[in-house]
Amino acid sequence: MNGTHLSRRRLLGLGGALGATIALPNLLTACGGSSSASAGSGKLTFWSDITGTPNQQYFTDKVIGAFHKAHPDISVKTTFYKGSDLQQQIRTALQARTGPDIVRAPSVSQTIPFANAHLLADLTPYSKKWGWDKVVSQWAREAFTIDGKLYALPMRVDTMMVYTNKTLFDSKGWTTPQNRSDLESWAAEAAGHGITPFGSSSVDWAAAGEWLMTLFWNNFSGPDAVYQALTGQIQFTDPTFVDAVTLLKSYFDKGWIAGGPSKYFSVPSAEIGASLGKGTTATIIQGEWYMSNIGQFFGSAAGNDSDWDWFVMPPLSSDVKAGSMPVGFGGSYAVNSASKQQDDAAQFLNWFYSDKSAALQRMADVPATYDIAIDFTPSEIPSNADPRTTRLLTSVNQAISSGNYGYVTWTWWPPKTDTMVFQNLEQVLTGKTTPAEYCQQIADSFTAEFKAGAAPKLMKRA
Amino acid sequence: MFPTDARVLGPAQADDPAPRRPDRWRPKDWHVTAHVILIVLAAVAIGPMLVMVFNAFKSNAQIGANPLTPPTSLSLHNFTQAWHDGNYATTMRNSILLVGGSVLGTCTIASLAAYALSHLKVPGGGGVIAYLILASTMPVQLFLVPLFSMWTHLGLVDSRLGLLIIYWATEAPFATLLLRSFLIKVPRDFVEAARIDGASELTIVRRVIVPLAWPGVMTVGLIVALTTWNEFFWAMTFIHDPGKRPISISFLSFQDQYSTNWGLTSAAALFVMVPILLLFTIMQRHFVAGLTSGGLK
Amino acid sequence: MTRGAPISPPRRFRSAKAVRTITGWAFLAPLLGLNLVVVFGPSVATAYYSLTDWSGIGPAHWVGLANYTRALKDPAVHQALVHNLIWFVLFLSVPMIVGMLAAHLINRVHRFRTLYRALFFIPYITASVVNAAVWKMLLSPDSGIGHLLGTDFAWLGDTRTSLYAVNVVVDWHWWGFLAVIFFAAMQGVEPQLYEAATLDGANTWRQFWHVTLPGIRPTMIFIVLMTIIWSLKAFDYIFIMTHGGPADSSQVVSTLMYDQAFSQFSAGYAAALGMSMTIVVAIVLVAYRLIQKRGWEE
Repeated sequence: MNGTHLSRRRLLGLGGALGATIALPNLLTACGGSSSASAGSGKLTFWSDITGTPNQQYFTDKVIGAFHKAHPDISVKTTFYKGSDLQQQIRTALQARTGPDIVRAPSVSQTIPFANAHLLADLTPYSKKWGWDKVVSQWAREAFTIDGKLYALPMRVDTMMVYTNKTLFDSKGWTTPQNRSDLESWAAEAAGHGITPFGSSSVDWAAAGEWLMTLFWNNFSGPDAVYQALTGQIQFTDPTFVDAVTLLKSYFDKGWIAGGPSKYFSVPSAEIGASLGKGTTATIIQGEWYMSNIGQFFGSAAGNDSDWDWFVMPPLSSDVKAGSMPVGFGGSYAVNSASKQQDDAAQFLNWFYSDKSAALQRMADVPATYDIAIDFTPSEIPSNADPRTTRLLTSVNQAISSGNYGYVTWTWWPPKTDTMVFQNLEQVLTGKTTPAEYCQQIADSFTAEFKAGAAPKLMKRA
Repeated sequence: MFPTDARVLGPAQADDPAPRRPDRWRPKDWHVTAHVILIVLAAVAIGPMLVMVFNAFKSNAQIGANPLTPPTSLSLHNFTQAWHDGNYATTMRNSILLVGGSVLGTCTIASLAAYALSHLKVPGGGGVIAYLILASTMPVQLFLVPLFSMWTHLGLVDSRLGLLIIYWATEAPFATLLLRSFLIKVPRDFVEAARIDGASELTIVRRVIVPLAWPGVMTVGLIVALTTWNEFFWAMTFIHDPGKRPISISFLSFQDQYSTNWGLTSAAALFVMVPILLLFTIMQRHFVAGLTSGGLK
Repeated sequence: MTRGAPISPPRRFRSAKAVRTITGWAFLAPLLGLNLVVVFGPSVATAYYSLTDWSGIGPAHWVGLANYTRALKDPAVHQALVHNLIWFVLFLSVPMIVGMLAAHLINRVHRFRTLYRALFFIPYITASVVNAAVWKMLLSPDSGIGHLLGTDFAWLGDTRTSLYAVNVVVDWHWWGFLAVIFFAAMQGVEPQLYEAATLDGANTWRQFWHVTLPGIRPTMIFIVLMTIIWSLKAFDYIFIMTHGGPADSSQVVSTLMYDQAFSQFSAGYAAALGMSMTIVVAIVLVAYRLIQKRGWEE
């Protein structure tokens, strides 16, 4: 470390004042300077990636508006960004020791580097002060705890689902597949009708491949195998993981998923949504967040009179119990360590997480956007919720409480390996590498990151 | 938009100043063939744009049924909604301010520098030119973090001036190189005559050089205007206040919000396209005159 | 701030020439000053990071030239360079040939010149994000041109065609600009040369080859130089349309660099790739200067 600093100083000498300004923020972070006590102005900033005018309106009125009523002395100013841009913006800003007070941080694996670089404030004192251990589910708090310090709170509980065109299913007399052979005979039949069984697209979200791998590893290899691999007990080269990849590839090669790899890489997700509405695609494999978008492809606005529904992916092997759902987090909320209003920002988080009935009301009002990890019973879900939303909340609740849950890659895999899961999958789908080679790459990367301590703390098996 | 029937194009005029060619074709045939090829090329150039214009007038359902055909009715609904939802009134004003600022600033900086490199015989001038080309190849994507840190310390983040300074710095090198090639052609005698009259070098730039190289300055100004208008990478990183965002960001966030609605997105795209298209159409003669009189020749 | 006073007597250390030099540097100062802050400063930081294992976040450790030796051996870099080369050949030839043809024809006809130029120019002045969006739709296997013609081939989604599909879009956006540039250059060719060639009995093709082309050679060499540089920097359309995929089939050095910096947490390695690109450009520039000195341009 010392050597590094010396050479950097020498460089600064050469670069003069200009260089000093450049490297200063990094020096600060390197020294671990958490900048401030909290004598703030009560004016907080927040950058969000909520899309769609109605969704943004709801956030402004029902979330921020309600907070302003509860805390008239604190104001929150929200700016909306495109999802993929937001993470870039936040990273750049945090490293420059500026940016929003309340940070919409990525999921666990990517939050660890932020925390290690001291870009996020330690929330442990606030957690103790306000008793967050009684509010936020234990598994969620543990995931964001690094070296005994809490750095973030989960923004949204993520899982994978299969969305269907209900009208199409009803008209064909199709029922929800219960196991792999059900699923495959149904898919073959749908394909025989010229209907794409599973819609999927990586055009607008390059990481879409990891949604598929999450589903196939958890529903074929099974959560126990995944847990063992993520805790270093077995390797990702184990046949069970290789076979899951082989199975996924075979679905692609049959044209069942997206109509084949090249369409998966080139047809935008909006078009796939439209064809789900039209009934030329039977289902879409997506995360629970898609629930807030899917409505636009159905009904009079979309020019059809169909409706949608969803089911849990059935077990693809005997190692998996029915109803098993992979869980994890879609991002997190944290406090900027460079903020001058850390207390006020924490106050917002406390308000957001502590009022259980308000939180449940948000979950009921907007599908799959405000599903924070808090403990609740099904009867507490407000009755105005869409039945499909209620079913999602209860299914996930059930999976977690009964220990029948798996692990989504974007939360529980270490960051580089996580990127590799979807980037290298492209090579498999295009036939440039074999599933075995792919799993070897994953295993090598994971082993290195696991040794370096970059793997998140895993949600335990029951 | 353009005649598609070769017959209406007519033969070459009788007072055609072009040199006669002893081809086996008569000039009339030759011109017809030339126009046919040019029309095909024009169709290739604007065909995709026409699809976009068509779609801007169609509803989403109509696009779904016929994605590439002309609209059957002229609904302006997409335009009114896109204008309102994209907040184009604000972002267009911001972009006009940014374009004005970057054109004025870049042209001033580039005029001074190009004059120094072409008429003042600065020792090391060749090195400066090589540096400018090299500097413009540095990958800007990697500059984000250091530049953002610096701008934060200087209080230039979320400020139009801060963004303008970046535009001046990134656009001036190419502008200088281009302008220099125009200024080389300004005869030394004019400059010397002005010096003997006691004019300062600054006055020479203002009163002699810029007027004489005016087509070149216009050309550089237009290229700078175009670059600034279409720029989004820096704007996205350095401007966070929605009230200060330029038009390109308006389109990007619009595209994100309405990715499923091609009609709306097309209308939004036209708002970005049409102003700069108008500017270029009005200025076209100057632009070509500028290129002809020097520079890239 | 600078008053060149040509008639004033030369002072002790100042001749008129010295004054001019000082004025010259003063006139260069705004340009170089801004460049120093916005480009050179961050470049120094980039050069430094290229010698470290910086992840993009947090502290960096000195690793010497390890990133550069890794780049030399990295198959992903080799593949990206091959793509850059393909890109360069296509980007240089296709728009140049079409642009030249168009310019030559406009130069020869006498009606609608302005209209043609304006139409050819439209793709060039349209923002890359807009062009990319339009072409993504046109190339979509389920609703684009191909679908209309009865094929559902996914041009952007097939590893064999993705690079070429994006290149077509970039060529399409670029040739009109070259047409106008070449047209402007052709305007400067002396008409007497054509007349002389006609008297010598040269046909259109020979006139083009022996009069037009030599007449616009400086423009062409400049365009070739800029094309080499732009081919190395090729980024925006690829990034917007394919992100370098699928399976790296359209990955070029700049998109690979971006991926390393922002997805792979290897900002130090990415910086080394960026610096290497600049070094290549420097070599190209030296070659260009040599060509210039040999008098090719004149």
